[in-house]
Amino acid sequence: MKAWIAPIMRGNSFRLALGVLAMALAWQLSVVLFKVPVHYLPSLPLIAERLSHYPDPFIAGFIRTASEMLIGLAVGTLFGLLSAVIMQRYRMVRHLLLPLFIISQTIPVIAFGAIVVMWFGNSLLAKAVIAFYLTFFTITVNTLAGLDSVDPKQISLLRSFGASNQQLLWRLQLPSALPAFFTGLKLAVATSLSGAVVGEWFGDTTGLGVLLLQSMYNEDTISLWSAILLVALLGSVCFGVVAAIEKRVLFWQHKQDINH
Amino acid sequence: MSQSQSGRLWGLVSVLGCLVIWEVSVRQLDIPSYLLPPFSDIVIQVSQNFPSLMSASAATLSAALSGFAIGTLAGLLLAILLTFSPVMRQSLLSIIVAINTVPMAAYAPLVILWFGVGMESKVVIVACEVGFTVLLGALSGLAQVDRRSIDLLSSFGAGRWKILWCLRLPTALPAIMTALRLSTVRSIIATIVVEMLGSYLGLGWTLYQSVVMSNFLTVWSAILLASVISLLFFASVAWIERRVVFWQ
Repeated sequence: MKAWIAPIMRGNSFRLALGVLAMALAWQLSVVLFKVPVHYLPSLPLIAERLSHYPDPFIAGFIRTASEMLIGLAVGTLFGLLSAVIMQRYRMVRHLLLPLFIISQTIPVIAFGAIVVMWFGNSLLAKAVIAFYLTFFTITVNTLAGLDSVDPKQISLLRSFGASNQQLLWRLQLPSALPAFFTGLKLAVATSLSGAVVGEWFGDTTGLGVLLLQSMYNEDTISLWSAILLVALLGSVCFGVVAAIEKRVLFWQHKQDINH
Repeated sequence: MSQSQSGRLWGLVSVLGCLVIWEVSVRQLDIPSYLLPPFSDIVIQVSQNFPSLMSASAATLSAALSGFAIGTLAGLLLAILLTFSPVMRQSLLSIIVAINTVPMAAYAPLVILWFGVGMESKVVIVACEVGFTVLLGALSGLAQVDRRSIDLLSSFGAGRWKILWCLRLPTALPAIMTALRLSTVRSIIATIVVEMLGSYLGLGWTLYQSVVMSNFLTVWSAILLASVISLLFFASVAWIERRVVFWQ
């Protein structure tokens, strides 16, 4: 389902770093040259100064949001993988569960967030649940598409050698589904982060989402941009880690990339 | 065909079954309504507050649709522009991917500071969210064109606009429509997120007010409406997709 985005998601890290550098340069130049008011876009040194003078809330917020996101992402990935394998094996389960999964994704999670916080208390767990809620579907759908794309002839071949269901899954289906799974995982990184950030808007005290909200109420654009940049850092580091793992695991695809 | 129809039937059975289980278990187990109200109570609440919930839905939908339209146009135009100049495409794409790694929700407080609590802030966020999705989808779609087809058309004297219109856009259409379909639900959710942060209209505002006043039946009825609107929006774009991309 999300294969449409795959050809351009394989950006190489060097170009990405160059892009970030160019963006920082354009930011700083436009602030200096056009004298953009601080209210709209504070200059980068101002943001760096804020971060170095009052690092504590930002560090605590970063750790908090990162752990909410990572727990949600990990559980969501496991659940997504498991549900995809089960749905692929049993058509009936797929017919019954997939529509429910689709409907679950139309529920605005921020609204649902209020209820999740009521159910699980205003804790790290509640935010992790929201992050989980935003992740599992992408993983399920992508892995399922990957499992479905296995060549039936290969399955027949392995069957004819007497492969059991389990061997079929581990030796053929899961490896074939890996590229699609990683596409889903990379998308899920961004959505799990957004779940953790938005989840914190329901009256928490630490976290990057809280910092975003507080800076908005105080009309403090310097803190606001500091928090946005930290969210960006968290998102891109996680994305980079997943992309690096993908390159390791999918070594055969990596070679294809070089040939192109 | 009958396979997909029976699949759809089972889907319907499963959704209805879940609603029945929800209703019966909440009533049987006496779950307090602030944790989970019975489904019928939510429906009754919707019908009782129909006018106010409808005007909230209309505000949310109009912001989401305007943002959707602007984002689609901007995303398509930028994608076409970038396809014409490969140098710009390479340099801009990395920046676009970098901006896109930050979830839109993080920009929401900033956009409210910049554009105020009116409709503009919602339209801006939705347009950005939809614009990026459409841009990435259209770019990968436009790039999928077979080089030989382009050479063939140019050998017949077709200009770049002719090639764009007759070859590139039709080839990219499935990817563009997929991006549009994915953007539908996101646009509604993004509108509601920004409305919760700062607004005086819309379902997000209703949600926020009801959470603050612990009016949980209204929270659930707003969730129900938001979900129904998203599903309808999704279904109509999916219907258009099937019409436009009839060959798939």
